[in-house]
Amino acid sequence: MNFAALEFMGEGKDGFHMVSYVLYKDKLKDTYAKAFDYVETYASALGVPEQDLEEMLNNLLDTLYEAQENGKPVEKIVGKDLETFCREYFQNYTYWGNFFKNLAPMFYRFAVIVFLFSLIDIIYPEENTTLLHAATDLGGFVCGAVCGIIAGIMIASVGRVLLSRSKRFTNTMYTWMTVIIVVAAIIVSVILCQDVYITVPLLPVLLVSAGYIILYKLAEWVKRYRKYGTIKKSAENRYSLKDTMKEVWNDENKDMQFDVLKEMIKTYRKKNERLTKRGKNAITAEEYTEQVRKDIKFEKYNLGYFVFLAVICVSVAILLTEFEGMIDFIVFLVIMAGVEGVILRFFYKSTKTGFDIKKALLNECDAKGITLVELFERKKAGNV
Amino acid sequence: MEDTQLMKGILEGCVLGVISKGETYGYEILQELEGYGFDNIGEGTLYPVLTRLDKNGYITCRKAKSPMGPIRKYYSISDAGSAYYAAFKENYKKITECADAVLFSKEEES
Repeated sequence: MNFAALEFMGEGKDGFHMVSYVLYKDKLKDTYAKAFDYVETYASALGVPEQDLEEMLNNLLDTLYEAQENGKPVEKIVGKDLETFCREYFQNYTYWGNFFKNLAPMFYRFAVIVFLFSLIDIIYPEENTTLLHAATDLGGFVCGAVCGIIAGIMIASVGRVLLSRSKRFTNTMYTWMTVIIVVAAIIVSVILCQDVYITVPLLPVLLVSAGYIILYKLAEWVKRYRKYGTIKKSAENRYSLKDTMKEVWNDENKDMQFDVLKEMIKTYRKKNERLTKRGKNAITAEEYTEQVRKDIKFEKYNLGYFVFLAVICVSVAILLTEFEGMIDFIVFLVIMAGVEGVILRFFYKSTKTGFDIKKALLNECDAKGITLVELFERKKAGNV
Repeated sequence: MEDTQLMKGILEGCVLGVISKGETYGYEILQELEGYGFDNIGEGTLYPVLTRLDKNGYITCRKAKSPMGPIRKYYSISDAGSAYYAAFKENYKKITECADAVLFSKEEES
């Protein structure tokens, strides 16, 4: 086994990137892809905790991919019956076991939200009240939490039934089912919480939520220290969305470059099909390459475009909202800027990566004296 | 090879035996076991065994990106694992000697 051939990502100051299996599951084909899809859906419906799910599905994906490359039948890896395989593979997990395992982190997230909103009540208190006598309304949070738990149980129960009864039930269908039930739960909780008021004294809420957050973090640090000898999160080598997005936004990733090139050539061929149907001349490969070269010149306006969009969105939100005072306005501005900042940053990074990948592909074309179409054909044939 | 109860008893030791030869990973372990005649061992059977061995401290695990892309776990035998493996082999030898005496000497008589 040649360890020197292994590619370690992000060596140096960034460390090793623990990316999600989701980035690679499209490499599986036919029966291997179907088997993996079934196992993924089963694990989601079982509620396997996220980190364990990433470990186990990464492991299975790697094994299935190597079996696919070596021509080993998928049954040699997962057996003849997928449900039996899943019961064996996830033998250490039960739905209710996972539910209770996920409760502590769920309460932690709940405590953080309650704590932050209670802080806002302190910064912007009701008139003529002191901290000792102030109260806060937890009706919305409790409604949301109860609807969320019920939605989670429904998703898992329906998912498990459909998976065992229908071979056509895929992970995509499970995801859509989840989205529909979650949206319905949000609508129900918004309707319900209008008439539900759970008014409690502010100070105990603040202290209890802060206390839970501190205890949870302490327990996490103690557990990590006992296992790894350090409290640093990086010691766990956990799969993270941040690391996965770093890989998605990594313009030097050859797989990502090939995927972008494939999509570009697909667009080019569809465009030519439409032109040919209308009786017009098709675009040549050279013309298409030049067109892409012109398009990426807009890259310099990319950041400006998203900053402009962020300012417009925040301004419109401010104009449509009535504020009771300066503090109300500032809190709203901070929350809007934060939320919109995250969303727009995501889209900005994604488009920037797209531009950088196209630039890298065009540079490769220039170096070899070929068009994007020729580059795609060579990469597909493995000749590059 | 069918008897699952018999398999459960010896699979941990056999997997440890494969790992004791050098750092390896899931698919390679399956290939090795198949080479020795364990043709019905799938990932569903192997992964829980590896998890148990890891939890008991008999193997150590290192994560790295595989050439194909997904994160791969590489397993090595630990000192505790080597001691456990040595003890397993001793016990296995004693048990098979006794079992052979019971099973095959009676067949010869009959």
